[in-house]
Amino acid sequence: MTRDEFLDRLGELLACLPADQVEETKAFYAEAIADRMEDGMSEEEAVAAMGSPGEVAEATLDDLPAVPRAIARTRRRSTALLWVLAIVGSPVWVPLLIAFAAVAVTIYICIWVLAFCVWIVAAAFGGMGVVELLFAVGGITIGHIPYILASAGMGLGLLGVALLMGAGAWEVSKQIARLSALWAKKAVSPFWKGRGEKNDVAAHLAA
Amino acid sequence: MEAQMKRGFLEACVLAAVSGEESYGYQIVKDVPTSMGLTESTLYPLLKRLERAGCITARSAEHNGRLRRYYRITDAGRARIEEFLAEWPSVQEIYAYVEGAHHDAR
Repeated sequence: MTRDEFLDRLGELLACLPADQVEETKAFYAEAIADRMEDGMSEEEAVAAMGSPGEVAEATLDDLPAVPRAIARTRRRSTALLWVLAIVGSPVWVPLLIAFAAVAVTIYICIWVLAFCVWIVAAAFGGMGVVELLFAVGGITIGHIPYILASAGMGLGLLGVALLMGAGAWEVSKQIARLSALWAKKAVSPFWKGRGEKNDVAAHLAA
Repeated sequence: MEAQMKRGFLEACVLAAVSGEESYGYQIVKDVPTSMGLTESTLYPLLKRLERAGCITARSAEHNGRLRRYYRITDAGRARIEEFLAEWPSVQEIYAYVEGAHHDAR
C-alpha cells in the first residue's frame, strides 16, 4: 500500500470525526511514514509499520468516551443504520431513560430533603431557646429568681443544641454538594472526558 | 503485561521520552524500550491524551521541507512522572510479597 492510499483509507474510516481531527490524525501518520522512509525504509515497509488503516482508525476512536465512540462506530457502518436503530429502539430507550432520570432526580431530592430536615430541627431548637430566654426576661419583670434561672438555663442549653445541629447540618450539606459534583462528573463521563485524569498513572498501577 | 498496567507504563515512558529535549513521533517510538511494543497507533491517542491533560505541549516545525510535530513535557507532566516513580516502593512491596508467598508454597 502506498502512503497516499493508506492516508485516504484512514480518512474514510475516520469520516465520523470532525474534519480538523481527521486532518490532524492523517498529518501524524504522514509524518511517521515520512520519518521512517528518511530512516531508510521503503514506502511499502514504512506504511506496513503503521499497521492496517482499520487498526489505526480503531485505536484513534478507542480514545473517545463511550457514547460518542459507539455513535462513531455505528455511523462508520452507516448513518442510516444509526437513525433506524435510534428510532426503532425509541419505545424502549425513551421510557427507560425517563424512568432512570426520574429515579435519579427523586433520590437526589430525598437526600436534600433529609439535609433540610436537619436544618429545620436545628432552627426549631434555636427558636425554642430564644423563647425560653424571653421567658427569663419575663421572669425578671416579675422577680421570680428560680423561674429566671430555669428559663435562662433551658434557653442557653437549647441554643447550644441548635448551634451543634446547625454545624452538623452545614457539614452534611457541604458533603452532599461535594458528592453532587462527583456524581455529575460520573454521569457525563460516557459522553465527555474531562481533564481530571491527573492520577491516571497511579490509578493504573494500583488497578 | 496486564492492559491497565501497560497503559500506565506507556504513559510514563512517553513522558520520559519528551522530558529532556523536545521529541517527535518516530523518535519517541524508537526511544521507548522495545519491550513496551510502542507503535504509532498506540502513541497517537496517548499523545493526544497527554496534551489534553496538560502534561505535554506540541508545536509544528519545518523539517526537510515538511512539517513535523514536536512534543515537550510540562510541569504537570513532570509531576506525573514523579507520581509514577513514587509508586515504586509499593510495587516492590507487592513483588516481594508475591515472590515470598510463591517460594513458601513450594
